[in-house]
Amino acid sequence: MILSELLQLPVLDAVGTRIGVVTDVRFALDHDSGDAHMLGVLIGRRSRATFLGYERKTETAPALIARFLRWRARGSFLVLLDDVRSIEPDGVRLRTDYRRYSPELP
Amino acid sequence: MSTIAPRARGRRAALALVLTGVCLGTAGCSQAYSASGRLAQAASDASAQTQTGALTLRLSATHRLPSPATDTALSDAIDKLGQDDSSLTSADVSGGLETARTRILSKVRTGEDLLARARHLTEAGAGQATTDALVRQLQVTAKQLAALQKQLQGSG
Amino acid sequence: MKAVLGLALGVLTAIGGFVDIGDLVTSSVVGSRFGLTLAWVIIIGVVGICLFAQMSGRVAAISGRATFEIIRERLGARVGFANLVASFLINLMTLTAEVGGIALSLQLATSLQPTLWIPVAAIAVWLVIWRVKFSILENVTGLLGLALIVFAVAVFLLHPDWQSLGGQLLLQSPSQGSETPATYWYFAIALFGSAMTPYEVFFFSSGAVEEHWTRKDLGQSRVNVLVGFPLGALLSIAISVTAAIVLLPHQIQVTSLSQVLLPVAQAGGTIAAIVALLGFVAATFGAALETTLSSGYSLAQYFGWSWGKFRRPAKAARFHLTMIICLVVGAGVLLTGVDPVQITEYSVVFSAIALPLTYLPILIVANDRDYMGDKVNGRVTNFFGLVFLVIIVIASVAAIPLMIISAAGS
Repeated sequence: MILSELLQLPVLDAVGTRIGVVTDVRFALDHDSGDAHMLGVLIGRRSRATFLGYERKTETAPALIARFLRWRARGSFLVLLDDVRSIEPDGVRLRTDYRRYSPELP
Repeated sequence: MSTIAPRARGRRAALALVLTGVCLGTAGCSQAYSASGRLAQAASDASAQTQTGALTLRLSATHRLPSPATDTALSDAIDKLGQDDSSLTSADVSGGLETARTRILSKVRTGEDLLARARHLTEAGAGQATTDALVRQLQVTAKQLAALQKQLQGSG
Repeated sequence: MKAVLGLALGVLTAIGGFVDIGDLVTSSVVGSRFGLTLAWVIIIGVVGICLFAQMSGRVAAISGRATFEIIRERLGARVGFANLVASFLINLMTLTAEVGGIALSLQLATSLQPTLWIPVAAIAVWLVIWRVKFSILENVTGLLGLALIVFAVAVFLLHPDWQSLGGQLLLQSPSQGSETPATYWYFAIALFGSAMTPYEVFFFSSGAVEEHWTRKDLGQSRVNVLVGFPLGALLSIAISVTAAIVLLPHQIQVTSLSQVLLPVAQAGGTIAAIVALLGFVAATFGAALETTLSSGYSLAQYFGWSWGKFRRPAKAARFHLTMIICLVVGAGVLLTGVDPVQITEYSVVFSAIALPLTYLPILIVANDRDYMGDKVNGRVTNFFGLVFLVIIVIASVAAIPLMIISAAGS
């Protein structure tokens, strides 16, 4: 599976209720090897509501744009890959006890 | 949560529809799209082209414009008058506007003839008096075309 | 001494390179129809382009990334692609208008049909891009473009009624005018689009990467932009003024490039007309080079191809191929007989429509510490940056409705 297939997929919880759309995928860099591995998916209410970089808490300027983009992406959350039960062509299914993490970056 | 997106989309589509309606409505009432508006437009453009011809001829006669530029300016004006001619000929007008169309068209053709003569004059070279007379004729035709345009706009 | 010369050269080329077919035609059309009542738009437009070029030049110098690399990185592949398609098509339209402008200028100089000049112009543009060094092509066309100063001289030679011109600046419409508000605002957007053309920014930021700008060059670039562009805009205003003095009283609405020349001939005779023609050729040729390069830059930067004139053509094959195809398409469109002046009139409006697509990403990245370190926008720049974002978005949104209502300004 490639990233562009994952983006925009609907996300369902364990009982099959739609809880949002995959808006972004988060990767982490391994310090020693320099390899990137997938940490989890960002789930938003609308497919086009992305942060455009304002998920980093330190980026606040220009204030109006930052506030607007954060407002558009409100309600977004991060779900770790461990909490994803399956990724299928028609949607992403989560485990029963998945946890919602803040999408913000330091 | 899943119901939000379709509703927003519906609202957006409705807004776009209303905006398009408003635009087309305004456009429909505006001069630019009515038959008399189009005739007025052709008259005003033809007037501008005829004036351009007069100005070009005057500049050329006083040795202020290089001859390739004179030639180009006159042929541009002739081309544009030709376009006005054909758009007037093909315009779909009814009743009262028919007389207006005929009058504008005859003046446009006068302008075309005058400009063709102007082009000939600048190539062959002509006396001051001939040139001055032609400039005046072009200006008179341009004023008549402008007057016809005003009449059309006045009548709506 | 060398530094002073470099600074002067940069400023002079920025002045001479400011005007292109869009400015020539739109300024003259507006002057002949509205007098100086729209001159305020040129002033707003030049403040906008200064701000935009200054930000994108700074981003390019500090991060080493040009406009479309940033758009792709920051907006992601999908939004970035929509952005690329719109910007690329409008740039192609502008390129077509510029090549047509070269042909029309050469027709004015020789009275040979433009259809003969179109292939010549396209091939000449391609040869120069292929063979000539970046700094030379930029400087030569920029310096020759200074010939357009003849329009500013013409204003004085025409001994205008300064009081009436001043009144028009303050929006007292000239007595001959009979234009509707929709037409007025449509041309306001066209004039804004001609001053703030997106290709200028692609070219400016990619040029910064071509010339390997670094932090050290920021001062020079700021002077080029902040001095050169406003003086270039004065030329644009001068073109408008000559049309307002000579053509407006005769109700000659400009529809062809030859009419743009007439006021200069009236003011200064044959010599002035020849100098102006030289300026036309330089301005359109320079802009044709810039738009052609911009077509290659935008596509190559988005898709990650190697690009740049500093690389040998074989090392940046797709970049060069893109430019050749764009020139062929532009010349082909022109050979169908469409009027380059009309393409120009539409291209400036569409430029205004597409402007937010490139402006917003640059504004955002110019604030990003990960890219910019301590060279992020200051408070004042951000204030004006946001004010212009609002202006740009309003112009972009209003353009199409106004185009419909005013029948494209007819």
